[in-house]
Formats: sequence, structure tokens, C-alpha cells
Amino acid sequence: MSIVSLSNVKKNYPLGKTEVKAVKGVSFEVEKGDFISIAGPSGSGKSTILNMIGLIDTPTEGEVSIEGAVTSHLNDRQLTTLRHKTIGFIFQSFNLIPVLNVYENIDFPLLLGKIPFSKAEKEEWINFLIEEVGLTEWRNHRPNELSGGQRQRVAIARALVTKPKIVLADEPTANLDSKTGEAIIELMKKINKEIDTTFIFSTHDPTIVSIADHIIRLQDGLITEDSKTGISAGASR
Amino acid sequence: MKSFKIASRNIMREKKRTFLLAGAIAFGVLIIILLNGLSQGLVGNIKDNLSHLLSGHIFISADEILPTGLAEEVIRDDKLLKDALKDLEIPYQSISTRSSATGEIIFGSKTVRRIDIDGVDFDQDPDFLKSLNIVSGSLDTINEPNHIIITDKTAQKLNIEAGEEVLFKTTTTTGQNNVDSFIVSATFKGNEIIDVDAGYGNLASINRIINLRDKEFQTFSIMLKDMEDMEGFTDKIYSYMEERVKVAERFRIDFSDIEAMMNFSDDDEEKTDEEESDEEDENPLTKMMAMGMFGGKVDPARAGEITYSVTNINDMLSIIFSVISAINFTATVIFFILIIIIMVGITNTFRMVLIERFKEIGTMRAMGMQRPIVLRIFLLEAIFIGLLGSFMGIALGILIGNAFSLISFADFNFLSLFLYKDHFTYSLPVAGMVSTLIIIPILCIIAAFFPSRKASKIDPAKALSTNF
Ligand SMILES: Nc1ncnc2c1ncn2[C@@H]1O[C@H](COP(=O)(O)OP(=O)(O)OP(=O)(O)O)[C@@H](O)[C@H]1O
Ligand SMILES: [Mg+2]
Repeated sequence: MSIVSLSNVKKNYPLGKTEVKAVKGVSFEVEKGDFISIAGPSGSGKSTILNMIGLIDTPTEGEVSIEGAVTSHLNDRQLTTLRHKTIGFIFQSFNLIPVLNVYENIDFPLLLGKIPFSKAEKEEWINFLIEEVGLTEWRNHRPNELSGGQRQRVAIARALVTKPKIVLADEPTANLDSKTGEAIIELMKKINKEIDTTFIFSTHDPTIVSIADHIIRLQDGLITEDSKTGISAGASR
Repeated sequence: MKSFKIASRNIMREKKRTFLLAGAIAFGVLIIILLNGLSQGLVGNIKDNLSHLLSGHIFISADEILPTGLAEEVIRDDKLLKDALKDLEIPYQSISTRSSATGEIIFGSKTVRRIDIDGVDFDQDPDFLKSLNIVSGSLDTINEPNHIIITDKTAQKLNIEAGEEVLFKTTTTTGQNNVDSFIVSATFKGNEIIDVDAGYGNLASINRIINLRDKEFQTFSIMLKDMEDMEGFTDKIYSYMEERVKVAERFRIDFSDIEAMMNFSDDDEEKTDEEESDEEDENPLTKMMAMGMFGGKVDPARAGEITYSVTNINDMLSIIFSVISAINFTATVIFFILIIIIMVGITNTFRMVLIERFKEIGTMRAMGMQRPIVLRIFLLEAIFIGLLGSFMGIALGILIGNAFSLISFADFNFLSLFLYKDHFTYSLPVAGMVSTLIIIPILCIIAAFFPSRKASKIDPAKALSTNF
């Protein structure tokens, strides 16, 4: 069973009196433990697809299934709960909460739902994550005292704190220099192997794409290549 | 609990803004708490002072129609009143029987007009003399015939010292002029609001000059053990008397009416006449006037008819109370206008917060924060600001109120009726505090509601796509 499955997903955005066809019928499967990159030029629909997998946006047509379960019939509350339970987010601009320090930022998602572990276990887990992303010395610092790379490391730890099955990262390296960006992707890959979490990230940087195990290339709202299935289609309309 | 934590952290993010809003609320609350507490203290002081001054809380007087058709204010027999006290088991501290003579005092070439001298049965009411602030002379001779005490101010006007003899010209209860000489045994510190020029003498002497007999009097005053019981006992006495004798309908009078009742001045009488003229005939004041209290005549056939009246301090102060409640009302209106302005401020601030936190809310929603929690956090922030402002305002109000009550107004004689030992009293406005703490947070919720609901409806995908 695939952990994420998209079948003929389309997304149209209203734009004035017309519509923008951001995604025009996309189908692919993500296996558990995948380290997958969605690659494509600007405007190709990467963010739109990640948002739909992340359940913060809904397809106009088609179905997004998480762990084999369809999601189109869920209401906002159910989607939010499912999001909290199964999905971690890493953002391009980090989106840390400025008034909270590193530890508190990582702890934050745990405030939003039922915590599956005791206080001691929780502290141990957060400290483990901080060590994992290499920020032990920065534990009590606020985001504005950290570099971009460090901030993204906090964001990675935060995305993992609820032990999600899937971590989504929309252009996590776009605000970083290429060396730092590569290090971030390498860190994600290391964690992906260590704790067997599925990572889906988007990028248009070819060097970063190459780190991924599984690559899906987009062009103009359609898949041009899926490295797993070997499908390689021309972007025909 | 978690939204609580997030909300309290949020309001501390923009400390300046939070304190500006809370400060504006605090200012409105301050006004209310200050005025409420001061007016409450004021009412208490006025009642206390007046009950001292008039030696009682409940007053009974009577008008008797004479064969001439004129009415005479007199109570010839206190048996009914004493019976009432006994039968109703009224817990009184003291009772006082008094008469009153209004006229002018003449000393040499100097005259003080419109002075009111009360005849007091000092034996029956020993505490009264103790409550006076004697400036010169002594009270030893006060019970001797034709001895009086007057205010230091009156003495100054006449340029006399204690021990000197003056002429007192007055009118009897039936309207004849009368004059006699009196020795001023002492002077005391006067109260300018009630008695511009005032004095006291023993009941017998004052009775003589207004042509009453020794044991007769005009006002029967009851000082209760506890002023709080005043209304209840006034009602009881009224019903008790109504069953037995004719009693004028109870009515509320103001200060000018008290003066008129005491035959202070013709001007006041006319004013009262005008004020009350359009009232129905049943009005006791009109009736009293008709009965000749102010010089009018009634059918002589009604001779011997006695009409009692029962009043209390509250009745006399009803105008003052309505002035105070008007002030409180105005304060409340100003308060609410202020609060409405503040509410607009809160709405705008929360709109701003909504824009500022647009992306953050999107992030939190993506991470799994439910819509109602977003709403709850926003509203909690509004409540916190409201409570912060309320507490600040209450604390400041109490502080300023108490500081104000430390100022001595000893030199402001005209305020003495409002003061307790030369100071204004600030009494804790508990009801005002409680209602503030309930109303303000509710208003803050209302003000913040629409931006908050909008915040809870933010589409996370949209919020996260804005890159700044
Ligand atoms: N909310 C929206 N309303 C209207 N059009 C939208 C909206 N979101 C995306 N689009 C359009 O849909 C298309 C796909 O956008 P998307 O953001 O998914 O591209 P992307 O591959 O993430 O691009 P980038 O690399 O620039 O982030 C674009 O043409 C974009 O203008
Ligand atoms: Mg994008």
C-alpha cells in the first residue's frame, strides 16, 4: 500500500472570470520511506500538489489518498486532525514563531493535539531531535539569533516532533545558499533513513534533485517523468 | 489550557500595543471606579452628617388647624409617637423633640436676618451637644431660660462674644411677631450648607418665643441604632400612624423644601410654590400650604384637625441622591462612549493582528491547529486585554480615590456636609468593580469577534503562499 497516492488529480484556481489550471491530471504513488523530489520550473504546480498532499488544499477533481484512505469526503476538522497526526511541514521561509526559542518552537505542534507520550518522554524526544539537527548549543536561542540554515534545521525538527508518517517540504532550500541547501537535504535524507519517515520535497535546483531516491518531474501542471515507474511522457495538452 | 498559554504569550508580543489598549480601557474604568466610590462615600457622609445635624433619621411633625383657619406646626402630645416606638419595637439610639424659630438677631446696629434657632430638649438628647464643635464660651448655662448658642460665623457678623445679650425677633407658630432677649452662652463651628446662620437653645425657651407650651414641640426625631434600617422603619411608623391618625402622604423633598419647611425664607417659599404648583392637589406640600403653613388659610370649620407627616433622611436627600445618580449616570455614559471608541480601537488592532499573523496562522493551521482554537486564542487575547485594563483601572481608581480622601478640606466650610472629619470618603464600589470585570471583557470579545472569526477562517494554503 502506498502511503500517498494521487489519482488523476486536477486543480483549478479561479482567476477573475476565467480559471487557472494549475494541475491538469496528475497520478503517482509514494511508498513508505521514500525520499522523493518533485521537480519542475516555477509555475509548474509543485506547491499546489504538495498542498493537496498536505491536506491544506483540496483537488478540484481526482483523489488524494493518505495510507490508502481517500480524503475528499473529510471536513475541515477531520482534515486538520489527520494533518496533525500524519503530516509534518517544512516551509521555504521557515515560518518559525519568533517569540519562541528553539526548544519551544519544536514543542509547539505538540500543543495542538493529544500528546502520545509523557512529559519526560517528550523532553527526551525533543532533545534527541535537537541533537539530530545539530542545534544542541542553540536550544534556548530565538529564531532571529539563528542563521537561515539553522532555522531550517529547527523547522525540520519541528516537522518531526509529532512523529508524522510524511514530511512535506516546499522548496526548503530556496532561501538558503546552495551549500547550506545541500546540507539541509542531506540532513533530511539522513533522518529519512534513520527513522524511516517519508519525505516529499519540491525544488527546481538540479543538484538537490539528484539527492532524491525518487524524482517526479513536472511541467505545466503535468508529470513529465516519474523515476520509479519509469514513465516519461511529453507534456502534451 | 494550551490556547490560554498561546494567547497570553501573544499579548506580550506587542507590549506597547497591549498596554496602549489596556491603558485606554483602564482610563475609562478609572473614571467609573473613582466617581462611584466617591459618590458612594459622599452619600454615606451626607446621611451621617445630616442625621447628626438633625439629630435623627426619621422625623415626625404635625400641623394643627386653628379656629382661625390657620395651621400651626405643633405636636402637643408625644404619647402616640412613644407608643409607636414601643409597639413597633424600633431599635433607636435616641429620640429628640425639637422646635424651630426663624427670625433675626439684633445686636446694637448689627442684624443677622434669617437665622434659624432650634429648640432642643437637651436632657433627652445629651449626645447632641457633644457632637457640636464649640469655638468659644461654655455649654454650662444652656438649659437656663433664654440662653442660646450660635455659630461662630453668626457671632462674627454680629461682632459679639460669648456671654453677651442679643435680641431675637421671630414669628410665633400662628404668625404673630415676637421678640425677646437671649444670652449667647457659646459659639460653635457651623455647617454652611444647611445652616447659613443657625443656633440652638433649650426647648422651653424657644417654645416660649414661638408661643408653644413647655412640653410641646414641632419635630420628633428618631435616631436609629442602624441607619440601614431607616426605610423599613419609616414605612412601619407611617402605617402605624396611618391606622390611628391622619397622616400626609409621604413625599420626597429637596433642600430648598427643607428650608421652606423650616420657614427659612420667603423666596424659597415662592420657588417651592412655583415648582409644585402644577402638581395635583393631593401633593402634601400643596396641602400643607393650603393648610396655612405658609400663610394660607383653610376653612375654620376644620379646626382641630391634625395632620402628621413622616419623613426620613433619604426623603430629604432625594434630590441630592438624584443629582449624584445623574453624575454617576453621566459618568457611565461617558464611560460607554469611551468604551465604544476603545472597542473600535480593539477591532482595528485585531484586524492588524490578523494581517500580521496571517502567515503564522496559516503555519499553525497546517501544523494541525483547529479553527475554533484560532478563534479562541484571539478572543482570549481580547479578554486578557480587557481584564488587564479593568484591573489597572480599578487599582488606579482605588488608589486615586483613597489618595483624594487623604486631602483635608477643613478650610472649605461649604463642603462640610459632604465630608467626614474634614475629608471626602472613598468607599469601595464593589458593585461597580464586579460589573466592570464582567462587562469589559464581554465588550472586548464583541469588539474582537469579527477579526477573530476571520482569522479562524484563514485558508492555510493561501496564507502560506504569500512569501514575505
Ligand atoms: N491561489 C491561487 N490562485 C490563482 N492561481 C494560483 C494560485 N496558486 C497557484 N496558482 C497558479 O497555479 C500555477 C501553479 O502554481 P504553483 O504555486 O503550484 O507553482 P510552483 O511550481 O510551486 O511554482 P514556484 O516554483 O514558483 O513556487 C501557477 O500558474 C500559479 O500562478
Ligand atoms: Mg511553489
